Amino acid sequence: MFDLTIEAFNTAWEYRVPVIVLADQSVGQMIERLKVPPLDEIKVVERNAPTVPPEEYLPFDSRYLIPPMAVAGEGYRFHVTALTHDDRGYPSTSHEVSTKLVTRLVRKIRENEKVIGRYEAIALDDAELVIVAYGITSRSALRAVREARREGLKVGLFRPITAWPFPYWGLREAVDRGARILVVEINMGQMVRVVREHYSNLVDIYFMPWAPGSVPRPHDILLKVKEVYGG
Amino acid sequence: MSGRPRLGLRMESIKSLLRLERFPHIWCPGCGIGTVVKCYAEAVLESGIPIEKHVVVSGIGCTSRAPGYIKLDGFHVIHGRAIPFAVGLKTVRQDLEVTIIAGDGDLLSIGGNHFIHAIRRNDDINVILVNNFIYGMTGGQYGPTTTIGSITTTSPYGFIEGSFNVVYLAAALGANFVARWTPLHTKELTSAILEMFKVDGFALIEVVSPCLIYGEMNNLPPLEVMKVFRDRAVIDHDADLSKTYIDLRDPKKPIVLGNFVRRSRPSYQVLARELIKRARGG
Repeated sequence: MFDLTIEAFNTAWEYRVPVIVLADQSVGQMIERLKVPPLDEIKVVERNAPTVPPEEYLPFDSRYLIPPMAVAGEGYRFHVTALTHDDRGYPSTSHEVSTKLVTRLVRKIRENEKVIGRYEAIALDDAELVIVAYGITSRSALRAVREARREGLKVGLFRPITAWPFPYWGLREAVDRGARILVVEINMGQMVRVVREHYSNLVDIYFMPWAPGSVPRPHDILLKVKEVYGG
Repeated sequence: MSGRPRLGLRMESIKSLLRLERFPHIWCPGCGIGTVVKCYAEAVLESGIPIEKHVVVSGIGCTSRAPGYIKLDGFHVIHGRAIPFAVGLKTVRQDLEVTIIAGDGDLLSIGGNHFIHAIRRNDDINVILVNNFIYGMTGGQYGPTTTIGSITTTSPYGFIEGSFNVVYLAAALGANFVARWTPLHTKELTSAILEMFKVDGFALIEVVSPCLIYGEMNNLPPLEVMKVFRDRAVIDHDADLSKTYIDLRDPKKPIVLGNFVRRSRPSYQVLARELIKRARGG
């Protein structure tokens, strides 16, 4: 979480986009070893600063996918609004203006999704069944994967690190091999919809919802794995 | 500039600080917000602080449209979040003079929690809170400063909740500078803003302002409100703030104005810098 928070700042700076770091209760209460690197070893992304004089500067210049960003106090005297806005940063409710803006905002992430998106893949190479889980659920799932492997079941784990962009491409190879998917999450079905959106027409996708309040134990997930595997 | 109304002569002095291409502005005739913009702009020009170091921040609402017409680095952020944005900016950029211009609804209702905690921490920001006693832009719903008995769209039989006395609240929370003026008191307001720029810590000016929307429902057209300001204003810098509750509808109630509080509690930003220095063993 420490490393991802640094990355979140860098991504925000590089793409001019708010980045939200999501934690869960268990991660917050867990104690694990953390290496705090010296300040000069932390990678800090440089902002794409404007090179034009203030009178020519457009804070949301739509000729760029990610326009150069002035910061306060540099003399650019620019305007920023939380409303949909034109290239000057002035509010607008024109459909044309908002289409141009929102399309650009979406494009800058979608066209860079494979640079921004992150995931962890464990034992996917020969997996016949892939568990998809994130947060604390992925820890239980990891144990379940190990237990299953010990019993000779070819099970792997796919852990999305970014929720958006969702790193669907990381599952591609396994899906092409015909691996089935089991989504486990502590809710009644959120991420499973995203997985289905990408792969429901290609492979069978199973879902194990877990009512919030407790964390599924490895054993609980293993039982589901066996049920799916057997069926 | 054809087809565009000419800028009034009285605005000549602050022309360099206006985004003229955005005029005409959205405010109703008789609204007090334009006057607040003028006083702020004059104070910025007189402040001696370089123009590019002034930053103006707002939330959502009529008043919060002000930065859109002021040619400074301006941030019209999401509803109720002017204070957290300004605090973040000021905390990392001590060289900036950060001023919020926003309304009673944005700052005290949607952003009410930020308001009380920023004053408690004594964040080094300036807040010009334009209080028109109602949500004007959205059509006249009651808000946290609406006075008891007022008729609004959402209280057609009269408002029954209590309301904030802004200056009393800010003083109780520990603000370093607390003042209250009206758009009729332009000289006093401009000098209060100038003084606010010099304050290290939380500085608040409540500007009690006429609103067409509120006035229409409560028999107080803007011109009438200006008369109320003229006739019922009592300037008392040493006023007992517990007795300064405003009720425009009550003809017997004075409108107490003044620069009420001057304190020198160290600001969060100064203490934070000292703390960082200490923690690093300096």
